Amino acid sequence: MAITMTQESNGERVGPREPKSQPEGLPVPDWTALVDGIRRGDETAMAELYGIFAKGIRYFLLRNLGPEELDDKVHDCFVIVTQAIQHGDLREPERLMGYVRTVVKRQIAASIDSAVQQRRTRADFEDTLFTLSDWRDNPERNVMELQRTEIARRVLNGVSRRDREILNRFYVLEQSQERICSEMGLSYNQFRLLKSRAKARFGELGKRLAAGASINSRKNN
Amino acid sequence: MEQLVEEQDGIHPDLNAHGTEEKLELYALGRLPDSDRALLEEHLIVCAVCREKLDGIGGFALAMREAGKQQPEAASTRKLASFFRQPAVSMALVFVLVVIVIAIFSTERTEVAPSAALQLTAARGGMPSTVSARQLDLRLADPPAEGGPFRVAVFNAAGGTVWSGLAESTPAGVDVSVTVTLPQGDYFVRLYSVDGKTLREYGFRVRG
Repeated sequence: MAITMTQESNGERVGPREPKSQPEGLPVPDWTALVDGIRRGDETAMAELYGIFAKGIRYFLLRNLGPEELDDKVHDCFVIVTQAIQHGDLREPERLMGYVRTVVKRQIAASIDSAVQQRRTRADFEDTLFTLSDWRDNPERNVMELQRTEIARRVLNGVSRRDREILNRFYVLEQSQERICSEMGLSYNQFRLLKSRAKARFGELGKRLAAGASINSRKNN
Repeated sequence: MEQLVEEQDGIHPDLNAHGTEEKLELYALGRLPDSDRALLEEHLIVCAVCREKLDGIGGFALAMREAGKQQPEAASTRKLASFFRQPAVSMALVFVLVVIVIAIFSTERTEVAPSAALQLTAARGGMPSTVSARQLDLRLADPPAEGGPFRVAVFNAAGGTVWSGLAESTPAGVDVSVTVTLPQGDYFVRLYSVDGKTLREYGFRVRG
């Protein structure tokens, strides 16, 4: 499942946030009880199911399909899941997460297929070249991605030639960490440290850019 | 609905199996192995912290990839590397190198003989000829009555001196070893006395 970056509605970030402390343990639901409750049509169980999965489902659908009709698509996923549970199709309650993931994948695939078909039909009718325009192709998102790329370019230009080669091997040539370390004579820690420094620099430049933008914005206002 | 059910497998994911930075980065780049992807995605559905981490790591990783692609050295390196990695190209290069090496050595062997010998007389007429050789032994017949040592000089058709040296007289004539390889052309040999007086002149031809 391809993941693209979040487009936040306000205060666009152009760099990574500072990592939070070690994630706390998530409360593990009683899957069996939850599934039983849904099977009985218990509204509390339905609400709990929604509480556990809604944000995650929304996250994946947003990245892959965009904001259009997002609420409807999230709702559709829940309908599919609850109906499957009520029909007894979910054999193992512990596999509920996997089941939800499968439903989301199918929803994404179906939506993309539908979009392709619609565009193809329209294109034929209008006798134009067929292109599949992606929801990601919007001006705000483009600017954000251009900014990030520019920051990354500065990061790459600011490191030594050797470090740049290492980073390009990983990010562009898609070589594995093991291969890079072996061929470039690095330890795993050295490799991770290099990436970590590049990421820190990326964040630093992003903050400066954001700070500069907010200053300009205040000046204009 | 049944199709969805069939996709369930026997894996029971740990809800608290938070993705490592490496895995999240590989996932953002689309390079996480299939064996890890499903579990990570299931976890991401329920874990807001890891989703937020993914946003940050993924933004950086994707930007680095895009910026790296735009770097001219990365692009050319990528193209060169992929071109030379092709087995056919590598083998062709090796073959060409072998052919070049063989050609160099075989060329030298066929065009230049190790040595040649020629007897010259001062009488005018047809020019004797020989092949090009690394060493040309000349016997200058009918030397002057007075003995040596003599100085000998070899000239090309343009009058340039290509070799000179001293030579001793023998009963058969004056023997000279010209130790430079003479290319195809006409050459003249002059025999001088020690005091520089021209005593005899000869000519010969090196055949192509």
